[in-house]
Amino acid sequence: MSMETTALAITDDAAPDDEAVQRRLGASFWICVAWLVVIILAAILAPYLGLKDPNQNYINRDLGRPPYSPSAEHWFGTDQDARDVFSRTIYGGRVSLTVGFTAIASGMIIGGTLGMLAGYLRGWLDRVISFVFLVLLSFPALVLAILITSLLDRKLSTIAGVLGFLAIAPIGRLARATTIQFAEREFVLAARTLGANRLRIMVRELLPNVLIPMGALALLGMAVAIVAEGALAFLGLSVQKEETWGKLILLGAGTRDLQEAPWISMGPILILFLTVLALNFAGDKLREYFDVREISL
Amino acid sequence: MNYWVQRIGMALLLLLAVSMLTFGAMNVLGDPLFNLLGPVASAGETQGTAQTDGYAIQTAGTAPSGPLTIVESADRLEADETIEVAAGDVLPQRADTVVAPEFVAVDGDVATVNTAAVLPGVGVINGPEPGQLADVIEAEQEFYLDEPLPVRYVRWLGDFVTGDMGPQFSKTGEPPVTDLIKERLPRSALLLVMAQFFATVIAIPWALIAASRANSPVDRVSTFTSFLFIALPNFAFAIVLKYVFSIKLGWFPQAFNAQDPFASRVWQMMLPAMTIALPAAAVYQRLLRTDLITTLQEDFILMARSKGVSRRDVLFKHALRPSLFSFITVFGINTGALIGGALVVENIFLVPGLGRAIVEAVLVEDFPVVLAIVMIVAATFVVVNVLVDVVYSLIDPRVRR
Repeated sequence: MSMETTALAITDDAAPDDEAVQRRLGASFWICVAWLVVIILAAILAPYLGLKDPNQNYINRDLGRPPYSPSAEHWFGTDQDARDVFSRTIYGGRVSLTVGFTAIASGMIIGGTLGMLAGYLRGWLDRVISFVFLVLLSFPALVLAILITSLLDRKLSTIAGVLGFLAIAPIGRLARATTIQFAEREFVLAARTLGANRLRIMVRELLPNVLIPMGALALLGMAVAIVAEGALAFLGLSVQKEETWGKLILLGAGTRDLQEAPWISMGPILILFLTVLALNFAGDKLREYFDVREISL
Repeated sequence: MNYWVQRIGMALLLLLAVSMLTFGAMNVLGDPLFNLLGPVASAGETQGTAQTDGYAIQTAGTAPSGPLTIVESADRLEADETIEVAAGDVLPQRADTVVAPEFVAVDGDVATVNTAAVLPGVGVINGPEPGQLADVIEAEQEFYLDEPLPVRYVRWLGDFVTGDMGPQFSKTGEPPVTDLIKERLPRSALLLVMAQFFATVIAIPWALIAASRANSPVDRVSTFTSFLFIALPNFAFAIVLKYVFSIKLGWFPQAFNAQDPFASRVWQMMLPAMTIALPAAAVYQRLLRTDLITTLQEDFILMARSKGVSRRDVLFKHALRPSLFSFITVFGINTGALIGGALVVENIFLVPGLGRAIVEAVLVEDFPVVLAIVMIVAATFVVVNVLVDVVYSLIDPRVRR
């Protein structure tokens, strides 16, 4: 179901039938994709879905003081200020998903470029870049994020940038390893014999091959980035203005709130968990499908 | 021997790079004086505008129209020297520059400032207390702010290594950072040790069961469970655990009390430790299971089985040890992720460890504390990885080549 089976398939050479079974993505993959599509569409179209206003206080005199428990009116209940948790979660998804996507996209562009340069050109450039990756990886990622976000402002772009920065080293290492693996292959040699220059070889021959494992890693990375944003929120370092899933969960995480109104945090946790699970699962399946081995994850 | 010199040299180099990056980031991205001293000028309380870039405090008066911005790189003025500034112009001087309206003569667009007024402690109306200005000067010496960055770094590193991590600046009268760390570090360390202990204790039997019944329904359920544990964000998991076991069932206390005896502190630490341990156990289990399955296909296992060794003995005595290698590596690498997780989880279970300390420090922008904690965590991570190497080469001497 996940990568162990891949590993098994790799070691187990004498099972071609198994191989054929492995090369299907399966229904569970498409369920995950469907969930992701739904949640992304909901986030993009949030203002047009007829959701409740996320910032409006829906005080109901019959029910007394907020928070109100989940009901047909408020699916996930309301928070301490009588704001609708469901609609806040969907709106929060806009920011969380944006952060996750931007982070991983920038990490892929920078890390991928550096990794490919290091892997193809080798020499001193490779040594320098590899050492930089090593240094970045020898920080616990969250600690580096704490350091940078506490020094910079907490705009959405900054948080996304910081998380993207953190993605550079792992993605770069994967890109480097894959490039090295492919740089020795016949089609690269053929291109070089035909007189293609380095840039052309990198862009036309190597890039497509590097992109496949990176794409699978990107889904996992997006999950990691979304979770990291939540973790930053719990350290008081997330996006300052907009609501995110992490901040919404934090809002209901106090002992008293958990006692009296667990739905304030449980609603966003549910959505966050399903999304992260879907990203992880889909990424895992893709990796299995494209037979990406666990190079330095 | 040569191998160890190389390995330890590499670790030291990494630590240096990490500390350089940390200190450099703090000094370049941030503002050294502000970072080290915090809002000395207590910007919120003055009536005028405080410019964080230049530390100018325009006091209650309105003398020069527009804020006075003061550039830190400019030279100091002599006492009684008079300069002319236009509105919004820059004044030489540093954080201690506070201009009282009486000392500013306005003539149209040009204000003349008598620099007698910008000496430390002079002409303060709503600005910082004169005592705080003394702090500024003291801190400039303490942190070598007049030295260039590399020198400052070397001196700071010297201080740091010898155990002087500077003062906290959040509230007056707080103990130095070193004392804070001494108080908080053991709690975080306990949490981490407990977490890794439980993770290992859970992971090994779990992996043995799963691997000995590979691809059976039991194995499939366990694979799916471990997948769930890995995907579940630790803060969400912490909240769910706290809600179920601490609030609904009441099995565990809701907070950590530092005054309690050690045994009950360990008990209070159970839930946070399990929050970190279960996902970690899932990671280890996943890895160990794969390795065990590979090992179980080896010829010597078949040999042992055919000699009549029982399944259990084969698993424990023959298969486990050769399968532990990648587990040990990941155990080390994972420590970094666990430290990050511990910082977050501490905040949910109200454990006053380093994680709480860093949040409190970030809230009041207490950078010496942030810097110290970041450095400790990074150093721990590097050291743990060296230790893992040591253990690794003890188990498998081939690594040393």
